[in-house]
Amino acid sequence: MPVADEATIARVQACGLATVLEAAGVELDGLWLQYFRLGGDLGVMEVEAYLHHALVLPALQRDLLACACNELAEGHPRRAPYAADCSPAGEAGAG
Amino acid sequence: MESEVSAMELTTAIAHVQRMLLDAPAATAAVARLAEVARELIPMATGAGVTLVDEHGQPRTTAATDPAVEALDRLQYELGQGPCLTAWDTVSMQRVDDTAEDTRWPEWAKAAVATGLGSVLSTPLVFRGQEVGAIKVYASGPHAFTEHEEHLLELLAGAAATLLGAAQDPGEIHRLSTSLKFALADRQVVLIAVGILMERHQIDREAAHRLLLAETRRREMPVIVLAACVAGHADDPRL
Repeated sequence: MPVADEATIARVQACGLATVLEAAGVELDGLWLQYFRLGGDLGVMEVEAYLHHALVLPALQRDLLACACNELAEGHPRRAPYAADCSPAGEAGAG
Repeated sequence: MESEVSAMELTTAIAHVQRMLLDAPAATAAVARLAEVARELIPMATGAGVTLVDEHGQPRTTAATDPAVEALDRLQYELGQGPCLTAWDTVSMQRVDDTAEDTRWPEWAKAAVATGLGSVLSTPLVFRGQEVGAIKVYASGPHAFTEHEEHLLELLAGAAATLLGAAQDPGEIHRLSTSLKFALADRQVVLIAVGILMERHQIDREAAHRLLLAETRRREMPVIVLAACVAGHADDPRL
């Protein structure tokens, strides 16, 4: 099976997210507020747990966090990855 | 995952929040703003209230969006019974579907019916494991709240507790609550756009949200801008 499992993708996404947050100086509260604005459904605690690899979030929530981070870190060269970027099958890999 | 914060730091942080909240006028304004945000977050709610307590668990700062909520709140403390007190004691969300049929807090429920309030949702505000207050919403009719509203209020309670913990002074709570209010308005626009896409493509909420996200990425547009186009119909890009 060439497709990475959900937990692995989540880990890669969380790592990428943490890196951009740190590089761009975005704090957890700011990230959460932007994520909430974009329609995110989870609380600050869950987001923090996800960043520490203690919780695997659903793909949509992970992508919303990546998007929130990238909007806040506008102009920053590094981008937080989306789920589709982390799966070897790429965006076409549904199924 | 264990927190690295020592007991000492924790005590200091909680004491800081409590001291800050005793600074009456500014704290009341900040808390009033939070109550307003709660009411806006939950469209079914006709009123909302926030209570903050001191280190002895005594209510110190309260604010409500209308006098009926405030009176009913005060009554709970006088009677020693009510959903907010139970939410507090059990550190859990309490939902009253119909005050006319509630038997858990008979005295309080009677007063609620007389005031014209039919449903209540109340949840504790927990900051780093310690309860610092409670937040509640009321509706005039019975059965106004479901698991969905429970989830929204929980989300807000989490944000509010974090916000209280992060703020250096009551003025900052007020500013942060204002950001929360604007964030909420944007969030509603996104959810409306998601609803439109669901209907248009006959897809579920998650798929519609993903579609919006994928399109904003492809077009290199901020989510809010694209969502506003979809929701506003004016320049609807027909995603």
